[in-house]
Amino acid sequence: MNGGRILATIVKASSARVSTSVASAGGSERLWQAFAVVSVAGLSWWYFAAQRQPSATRHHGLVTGLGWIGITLALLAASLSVRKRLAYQGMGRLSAWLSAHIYLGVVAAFAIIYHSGFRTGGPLTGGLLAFFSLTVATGLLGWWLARRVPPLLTAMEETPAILEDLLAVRADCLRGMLELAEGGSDEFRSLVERRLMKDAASWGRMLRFYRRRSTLAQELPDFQKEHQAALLLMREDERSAFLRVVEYALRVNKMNAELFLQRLLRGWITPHLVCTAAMFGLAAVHIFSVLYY
Amino acid sequence: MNENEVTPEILSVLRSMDLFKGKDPDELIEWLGKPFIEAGSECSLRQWDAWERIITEESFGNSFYILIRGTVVISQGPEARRLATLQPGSFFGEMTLISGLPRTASVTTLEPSHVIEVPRRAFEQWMKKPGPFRNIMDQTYIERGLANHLRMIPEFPDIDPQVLQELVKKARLRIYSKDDAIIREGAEADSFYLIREGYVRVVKTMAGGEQRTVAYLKEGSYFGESALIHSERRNATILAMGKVEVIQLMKEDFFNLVNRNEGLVDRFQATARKRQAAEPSGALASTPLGFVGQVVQRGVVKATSALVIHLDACTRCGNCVKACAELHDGISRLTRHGMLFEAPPPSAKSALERLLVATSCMHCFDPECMIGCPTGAITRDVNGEVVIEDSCIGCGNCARRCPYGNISMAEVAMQKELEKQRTGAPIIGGYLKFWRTPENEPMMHEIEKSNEKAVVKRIAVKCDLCHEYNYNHGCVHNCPYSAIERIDAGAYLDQIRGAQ
Repeated sequence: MNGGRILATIVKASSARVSTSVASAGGSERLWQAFAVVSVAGLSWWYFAAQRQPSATRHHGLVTGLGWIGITLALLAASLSVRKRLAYQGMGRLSAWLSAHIYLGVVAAFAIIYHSGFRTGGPLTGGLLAFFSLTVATGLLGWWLARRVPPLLTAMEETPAILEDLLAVRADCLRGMLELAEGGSDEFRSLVERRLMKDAASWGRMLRFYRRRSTLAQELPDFQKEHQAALLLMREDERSAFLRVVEYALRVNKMNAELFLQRLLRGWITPHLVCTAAMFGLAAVHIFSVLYY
Repeated sequence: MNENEVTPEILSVLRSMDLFKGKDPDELIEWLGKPFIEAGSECSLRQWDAWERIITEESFGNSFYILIRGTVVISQGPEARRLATLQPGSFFGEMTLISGLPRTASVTTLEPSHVIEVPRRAFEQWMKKPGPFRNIMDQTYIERGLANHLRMIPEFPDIDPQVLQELVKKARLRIYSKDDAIIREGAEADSFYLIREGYVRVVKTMAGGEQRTVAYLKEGSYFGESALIHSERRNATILAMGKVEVIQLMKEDFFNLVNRNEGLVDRFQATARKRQAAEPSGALASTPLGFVGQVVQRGVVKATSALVIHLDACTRCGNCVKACAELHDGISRLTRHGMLFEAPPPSAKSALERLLVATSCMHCFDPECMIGCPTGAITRDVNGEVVIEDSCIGCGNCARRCPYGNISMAEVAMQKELEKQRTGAPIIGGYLKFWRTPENEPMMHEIEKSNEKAVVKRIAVKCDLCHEYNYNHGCVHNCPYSAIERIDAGAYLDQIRGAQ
């Protein structure tokens, strides 16, 4: 976000043609951070003060109050989903909503943990706490991925590509490999199928891209060296085709590496949503059982 | 304007103008009344009260004006310095239509006035035809442009108006295309240049024979004076980085100017010293074409609203594209492809940042897409936003002209149009079937009988900056990670240069 800071300073708020979400997002995030700190401090003080002066009535009030606060904040945090999917036309910037979602979720976590009194209780409340913890954990994972993965992806990409582009390029490369293999000798075909197809799908090689933050052009010379022995065994007329297959294989591996990162960036949301739905379902049963039984 | 509106007074004023020399009244009536395919592209007679502003400085406009009755004053700057007073038979507003740049002065009525407003499309039609209209416009463009331009350059603040008039007569306007050499290193120095529009690159040969870019100059800058003053050969090559308009002053006229203005040489030399101290300027010169050069070379510098994605913060969620499609009938006006840049860091400690200038209308300062639209459907509003009106016929001219591929052709469902034709009312008419009248029933059958292609219309689509919504830019508004923003490239570059 280096350039972002520069951009934020130059943008003229009065002009209809320029707009930035960088400066305003930073402001709203700080506001929500302050809210979270104050709220967590307030809840902690309330909980521990009540623990020091045991009284059945006060304890009941504390537990009920924390429960209502927790579920209300969790519901408010969940409203991000509605804003994201249904309200493109307004209701504030989505980045501000995301800040609200994160910090309301943090405060809700404290409220619910204090509400539980650090005990799992019966199977229902135990399940509820488990799903709640999973919701928080998957949310934190998403938050971490959103900060860590884009710079890694950017370092590896020659040009920014969307998921559909990556899939198309990968399919083209695989097709190219197979076509070249089919047109070659038995040894050539066998080498492509035995070795290069495996290389194309290799996790170890993908990890190397991640570790080195390297592009295809940077990795290709090393990869070609690894296959130099095989190249020397090739027939003269198959050498150029073999070199092309080697490049295709590395490109497929690179596409796999990028695809994995892009899928990670999208994939964490599914368990987060499933856990959230389960948590709210169990919370509804829990509230109903407390109120009516 | 219909024929009845063209009064004898209008005809007499027009016939007195050099612009329309040799035109007979019928021809003039035809010119004024010629409907340019779609409504809204015709000339119109407008009446203004005293002290009303017809043109506001710095705004963008789509019209040229001919004063028929009354008096108007042309003023410039925050202190409203009067430049001229115009009488019936004068014209104004042509500069913006020719250059695509914002209005350079304000025009205000001094008394109730009648003005013929000529829309861009009609003006372009007239400019296409050889004859006095085109010749006078070209000449006026140079004269007014030079006078305005010289006033803006710090080295010429107190230039004598008489000297200015002489200069205007002697100066020549030169237009260069991308990569044209305006002057070459080692060549004989014969003239002085002022950049009126665009960017140029200053390239010098280094000790090892390497060609290195040492500076970029933009409108308002000048070059070529040093070799003239010191009677030397050119010490650098100047290359155009896109379309560049320069005002050329020949050697004798330059010395005539210098000799009549004490202190001008000192000012030139002070500027030359500053330039020399600034080169080679670190990151700019470290690569054959630094970040600023890349931005200029690839045309992003023309953007008044470039869509920039910070790739290190972008999670590739695609919410920007989804939001854009949601807000524009399912057709996104941006794609996450485009031009990649490595932006310099704001401080020595931080690393380069990768920016993607996404494929989305940049609302160029000088939009090429607006040239030659047959219906005048592509226009710009007073804020400079380039918009495509409903009168688009889908010819694709603007899409072909856009150098960045930011305009696409899309087939949109014509449900609205069909309902309008069936019932005389948009959309809601679909629910009010009883509204159909016997008169429009046959038309409905005609549409239904025609082939299926009739239900879609091919139109040009591009980013409209979400001007119909009450907030700025759906893509920016709906990015959860604040990774996307719209920037004014010129201001951004100035900031980058300042930071360096």
